[in-house]
Parts: sequence; structure tokens; C-alpha cells
Amino acid sequence: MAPTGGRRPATRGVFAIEEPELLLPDPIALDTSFVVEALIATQPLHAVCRALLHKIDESGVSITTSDLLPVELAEAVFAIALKERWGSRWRQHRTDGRARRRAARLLNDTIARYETLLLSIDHFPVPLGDTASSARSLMTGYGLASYDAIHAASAVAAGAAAIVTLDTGFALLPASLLTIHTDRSRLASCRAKRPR
Amino acid sequence: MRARQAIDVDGQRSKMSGHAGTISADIMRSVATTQTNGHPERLSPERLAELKRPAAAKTPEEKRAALERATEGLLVKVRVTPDMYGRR
Repeated sequence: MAPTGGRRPATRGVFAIEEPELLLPDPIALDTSFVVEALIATQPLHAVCRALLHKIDESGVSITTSDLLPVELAEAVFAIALKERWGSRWRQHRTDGRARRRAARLLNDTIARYETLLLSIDHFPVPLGDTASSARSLMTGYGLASYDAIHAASAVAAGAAAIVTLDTGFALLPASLLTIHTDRSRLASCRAKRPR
Repeated sequence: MRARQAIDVDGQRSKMSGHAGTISADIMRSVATTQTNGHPERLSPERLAELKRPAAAKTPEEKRAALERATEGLLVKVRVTPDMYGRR
């Protein structure tokens, strides 16, 4: 008879956002990578991220974000306009003004949607000035990239026990500092990156 | 003694004198969190209370409608990848 039990794999503080029983700490931090997927309907994980936003709303937990998030959103939108016009050569055309009208329209739409999202959930926006030095210590202490370090420092500063992200770079942090809520396809790589 | 205890930072927009002129309270607050033995520091409950933005939508229906408006129908012709907002 085959064994039915056995040891469950260690979560290492990394959980799937698709999991129906996922527990949401209050507050919970949102990373730009998650918000991009939730706002843009053509993104591959849009439905999953949107469903989690509804779950956050229904559970009544508040969210926290770094003030870097809307800046990254604007950067993404500008890049979308360039990529739509220039394809894979979009980086070479950053200073070409012909994509700017589309970029401005898209930016207004995206930021309006982000602000609408915030109407529905209690929110702690964390200014960069409150986290700059903590971010530096996360970079030097754990090897985080600068933008990840700012989001992580903001999450910790606001008292969030978890961050929702599609960026595996946050897994360089120990689980004791920040739990990671990500999509199923990133569970294994996040768990492998966690410091032992 | 930690810097936060040594420096009285009162008011978000207050200015303080310094050797290079005036230093905004935001910058002083940032400096105040440097000496934390490499661990990020939590903001004080008072600072968190300052930052809190309560949801403007109050009823479950209003909240659901706001979420629907925010997340429905934004279509673009390309796939957004992390390098497009400065990530690796």
C-alpha cells in the first residue's frame, strides 16, 4: 500500500495567491508587479490578481504601498506606449515624442484606475523618505535590488507581515521578515531563494 | 541613543536648521531610522495614523463597484514585463 501521508514541503513563508484558504494579514503590502497585473486586463495573471483584490476587499484588511508604486506604474505605461509603436526596439526610442500622446492617455487612465482601486480599501501609502535608510540596509544585508528594497522596507515600516508580488527577488529576505504571497508558478523559485 | 530619540521631529513640514541650510522633517525622519542594526524599522503608531487613507467607498456594493471599475477593460497591445518598470 502506498503511503498516504508524508512530510509536507516547507512553505518557507511563500504562499500561493490562488489558494482559497490563503490567510491575509492586516495590513498587507502590494508590490507594483501585482498591481500591474491586476489593472491591465491583457496581462496573463490578470484574473488571479483581480480575484485576490476582491478577496482583500471582502476580508476587510487594509493595504500598504510604497510611494514608488505609482512612479513605477507611470514608467510601465510609458514603456507600453513605446513598445506598442516600436516593438522590441522600444528602448532605443525613449526620446521619440510620437508615442507620448498615447502614453499620456494611457497614463491618465491607469492612474485613475489605481486611485479608484484605493477608494475601496483602507490604504497606508508610505513615503520614500520614511524608508530610504531601511531600504539601504536591506540591500546590503540581503542583496535586494533597490526597488525591491524600497517596497520591502515600506511593507515592514507599515507593519505588514506579507507582500503580494510576482517578483521573486523578495525571496532573498528571510521569512521572519516578510511572508511572500505570489502566484503558483513562482512558489518553487521563491522557496529556493529563501535564505536558510 | 538612537537618532530618533535625540532629535525632536515635530510636524511633517517643519524645517530644522543644519550646517547645509534647512533640513526638512521628512529627511530628518529618514535619518532617524538609520541606526537599527541592519533591520528595517516599523513606523510609530502616530506616523501610521498620519499616513492612513480610509476607503472612500463605504458599503460593500460601492467597494465592489470601485474594484470592478479599476480592474475591468484596460487593454494594451503588448505584454508588460518587469523590465518595463525598471525591474530585473
